[in-house]
Amino acid sequence: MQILLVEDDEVLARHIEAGLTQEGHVVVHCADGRNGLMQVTCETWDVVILDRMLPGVEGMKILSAMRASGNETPVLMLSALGEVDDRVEGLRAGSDDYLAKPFAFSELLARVEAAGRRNVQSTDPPAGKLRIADLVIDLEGHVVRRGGIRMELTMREFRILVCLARNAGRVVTRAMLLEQVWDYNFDPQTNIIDQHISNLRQKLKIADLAPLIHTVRGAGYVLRP
Amino acid sequence: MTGRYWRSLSFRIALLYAVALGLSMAFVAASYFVIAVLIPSDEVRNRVAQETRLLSQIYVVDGEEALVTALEERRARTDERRAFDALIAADGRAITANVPSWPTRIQNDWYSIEADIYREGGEDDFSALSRDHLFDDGVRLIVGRDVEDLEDREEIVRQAMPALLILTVVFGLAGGAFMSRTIGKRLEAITATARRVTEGDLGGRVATRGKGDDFDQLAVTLNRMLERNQELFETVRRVSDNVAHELRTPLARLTARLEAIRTKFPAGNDDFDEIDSALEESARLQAIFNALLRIARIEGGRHGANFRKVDLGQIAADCVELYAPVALDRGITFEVSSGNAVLPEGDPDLLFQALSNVLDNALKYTPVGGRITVGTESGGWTVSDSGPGVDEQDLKRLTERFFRSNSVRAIAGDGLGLSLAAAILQLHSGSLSFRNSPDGFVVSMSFQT
Repeated sequence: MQILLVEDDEVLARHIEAGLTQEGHVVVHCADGRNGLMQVTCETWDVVILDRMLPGVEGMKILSAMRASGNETPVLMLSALGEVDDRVEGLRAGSDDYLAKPFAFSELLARVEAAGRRNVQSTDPPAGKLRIADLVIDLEGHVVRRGGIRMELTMREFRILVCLARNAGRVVTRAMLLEQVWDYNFDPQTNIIDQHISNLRQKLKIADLAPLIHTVRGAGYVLRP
Repeated sequence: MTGRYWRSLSFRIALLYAVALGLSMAFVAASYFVIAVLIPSDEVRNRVAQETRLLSQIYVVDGEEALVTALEERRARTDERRAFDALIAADGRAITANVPSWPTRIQNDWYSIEADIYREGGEDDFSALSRDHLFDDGVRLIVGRDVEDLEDREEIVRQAMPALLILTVVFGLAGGAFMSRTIGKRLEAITATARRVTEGDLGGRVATRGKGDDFDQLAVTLNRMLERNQELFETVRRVSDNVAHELRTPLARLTARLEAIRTKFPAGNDDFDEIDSALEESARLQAIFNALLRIARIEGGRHGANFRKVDLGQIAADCVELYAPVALDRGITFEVSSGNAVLPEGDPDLLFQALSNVLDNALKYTPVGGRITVGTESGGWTVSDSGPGVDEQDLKRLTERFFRSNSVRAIAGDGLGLSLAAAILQLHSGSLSFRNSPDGFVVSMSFQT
């Protein structure tokens, strides 16, 4: 993916750039808001990573300018403010995702890739069905079948599975699951997600079939055959 | 509470005002009575007594005829108090008299004789304040002077007094009520402002009327104090915002560097694991840091709370559902008794956070195989667990930041969960309270509904 990184902190920017490049992405880095705004308007990007506090033009202003001119490039906001309501504010202003500093690189990578994918394929397949190997998810009927056998899932488990399936093959972090599967914006005190995943795994387990949900150490989960 | 107190204070002021006004009215009436009635009456009595003494001496010394002449002379003299008299022989025949009638029996004390005089078709009312003198030979002398005006005045005072008093009390009550309401209103304005500021609107100020009266002065002083508070608060806020930014950036770099080093080792390597634990520690540092800032923001009323109608039962159900797998895993039974409870103004995200923190604690401290009950009533939530409870002396300190009871030190935690829950409840004008019960531990999260 072609990624624009607008971040004034040298160390952090270098780290992000190195990490994303290692993952096979092309990264262009701008250290101030004015340059960032120019790059955003002149070039086409798959994803823009935008720091909120920037010298020159503020991140939020760049975002507003983009959205005002009809530029729908996915934007991942980075912020050292990081309050829950700052996040809400950022999302409301039109960013696709919001990440508070400090963050683990794996979290950033997972979100950048999810944002990039949303750009390519923003709607579900027309049949309303997601298929991953032997797993079929009927989004409208809320039915999950594996190898033809119907799985009895709770509403929450179903939503977790859908979230993983939409990002099949890519890491979904715990924080991403929390944001997308639960209707509340909150910080859990413990790794409560792990328990839900473990239950879901149990239910999807069928004797001869290979496990579908894999844990990625230090990052999150991935659904793949 | 304050309203009721104020109402009663208004009532007391009004009553006091009415009583004071009534008393001063009564005092004025009494003074008038003394000056306009009692003192002149006394003067008349003295005068009549003196005249009686003189006239009786004339009778004793010069005889009946001389007295009659003296009496006639006395009648003829112009005086603002017309003279009246009657000289009655021992057999009851009137020797001379200018009063139409008199009591047949001798009076020992002062008395009044109606002495109306008809003249040219009109009638002059006179009332003679009179005194009897009985001579040794049985002749009776009545001497008097007119006090009609004094009696009229007395009559007026007697008749008007009750009405006057009632009117005074009524006006007094009305005036008192008006006065106390005026004061009450201005005090209420100050109370309302204080409440607004307490609830987090630091920009709240008391309105002044620009008249420079006592209340204006109080308002100006209070406003100055609020101004100063706000300044101090803003300073603290700026500092904490800067701290947030200035600490987050190096923390982000630290994480970044550690991650960069980690890539140099294959997963599973000892050094990789070491760096991994360092990364976990920095994540924990971040979590504590976030929680602290969040508590500070909520307590400072700076959380952009998204208030709307909230179904407490729904939040409880969702929260229990979130923790159900953990409970199942630990063999803990979850019991939910969900009543119908709606909070007209609440932030669902924050309330969910508060309840989840409490539930998280309950799950942490309840032994395997225990039970946790989550109840929703109209007043709020109750979470009871079958855990060991908390030392009585620690109960009060549970919401202190970083406080951890000695009995739970072995269990992981940062001592901020309940502080955050308490701050959230405070934002909702609610309260968080704890108690040990025979079965375990009870946390009550109550809201004013």
